[in-house]
Amino acid sequence: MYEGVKAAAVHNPSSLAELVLLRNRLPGALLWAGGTAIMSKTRLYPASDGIDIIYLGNVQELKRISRSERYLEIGSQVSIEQILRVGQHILHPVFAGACRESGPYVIRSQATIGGSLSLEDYSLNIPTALSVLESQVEIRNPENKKPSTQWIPVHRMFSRNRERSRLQPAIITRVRIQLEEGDFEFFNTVGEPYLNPDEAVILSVFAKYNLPAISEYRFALSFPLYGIFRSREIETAVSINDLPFEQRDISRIIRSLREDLQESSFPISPLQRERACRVFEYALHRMNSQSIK
Amino acid sequence: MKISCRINGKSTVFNTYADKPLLLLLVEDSDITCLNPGCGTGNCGNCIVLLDNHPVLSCMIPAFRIRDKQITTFEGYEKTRFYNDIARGYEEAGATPCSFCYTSKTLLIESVIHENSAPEVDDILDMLSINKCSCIDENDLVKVVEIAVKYRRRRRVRRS
Repeated sequence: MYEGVKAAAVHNPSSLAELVLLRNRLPGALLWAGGTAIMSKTRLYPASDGIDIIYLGNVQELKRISRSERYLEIGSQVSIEQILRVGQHILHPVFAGACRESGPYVIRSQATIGGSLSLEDYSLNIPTALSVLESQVEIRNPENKKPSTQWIPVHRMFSRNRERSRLQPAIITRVRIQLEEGDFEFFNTVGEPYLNPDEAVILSVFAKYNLPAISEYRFALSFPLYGIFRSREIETAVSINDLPFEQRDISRIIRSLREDLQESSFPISPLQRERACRVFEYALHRMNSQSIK
Repeated sequence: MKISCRINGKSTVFNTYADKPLLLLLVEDSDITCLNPGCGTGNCGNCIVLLDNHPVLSCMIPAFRIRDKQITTFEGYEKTRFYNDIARGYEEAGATPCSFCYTSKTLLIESVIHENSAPEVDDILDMLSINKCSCIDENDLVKVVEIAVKYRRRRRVRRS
């Protein structure tokens, strides 16, 4: 496999300043976070002839977790397992669920939050949960003479038009998650998003209510190969109802969702559409039962 | 690129490609024979080694990540006294993994015991779920770990 291949050069920056300088000098280099995605696809290694690899694992600034009154900020090199150890009372249940279902301990210890937001052809658990929590990602653009920083909503990075590809060669440095508490949070995957991405569906829901009124309802449906689907119309259609929902309200919402998915630009399969509708309906029933407890 | 590390306590230097998987390094460029190259993409969980005492899938670790690290394969681990605790666990529970996954399951069980002296059933199953071989029932695996934990605890008490 490796005969005749020119060796890749590995760069190990230890600070953010060093990383930005290096990235400016080598815009085409491969940024290596945890490496679980790269190593799980044999087509991605050996790296093509003479490519440079920038390993992010030694950049201390990217490994920090900090908390203020309103936000939890997680460095892009923090592993999924480390995030879970932050504590259940700080993490949103929807985000904790997404982290837990990212894989077994061995994978979670190696995969990083930044890496999971950088996958070019997949939108998996972490982006789906972060999207519904209206989280933002700090992007550092090393191209200008004076490196600039901007915060981008996760949802924009994973929407249908894939803004991620336009972010190259920027570096993801931090993720900011709001700490506002939800009254109902739900995370579920149907199928195996990484192994069978063309069949799987991921759903995250965040809702606030003051019985019987729903004050806020947000959802994100991810189709791993195509991006994250969100619809303000469906969110409004849910939140104009009082809790508990009646069966005819649920049927009406699901009918609208089915139509929206059919009309959307996501080229999903009938199986994915059916799965999306059913898992969404299941979440509505869960919210119902929680509200009448 | 030249990469030095310690494999089962022995200093080793590889002259290799930076992103060559550790699994291939061990199988092709060293005298390790206990590893079963399975899927090579992190799905089967049959290539577990310990990297600085933490379990990793060797097919997912690039060569440049092992610089100056301590790698323990089953061949090195089975020579330690800790292995006896797990071997007794297999024997007393009456459940031994098949030859294909034995080395990986044993190193994963060691990791469970090493990281938590009183592991919960969920912790055990979470750690072991990386290995997809279904030759042993989950309940039996939990039993093996519980017996191994008991022997490990006795060993610790004797030492202290």
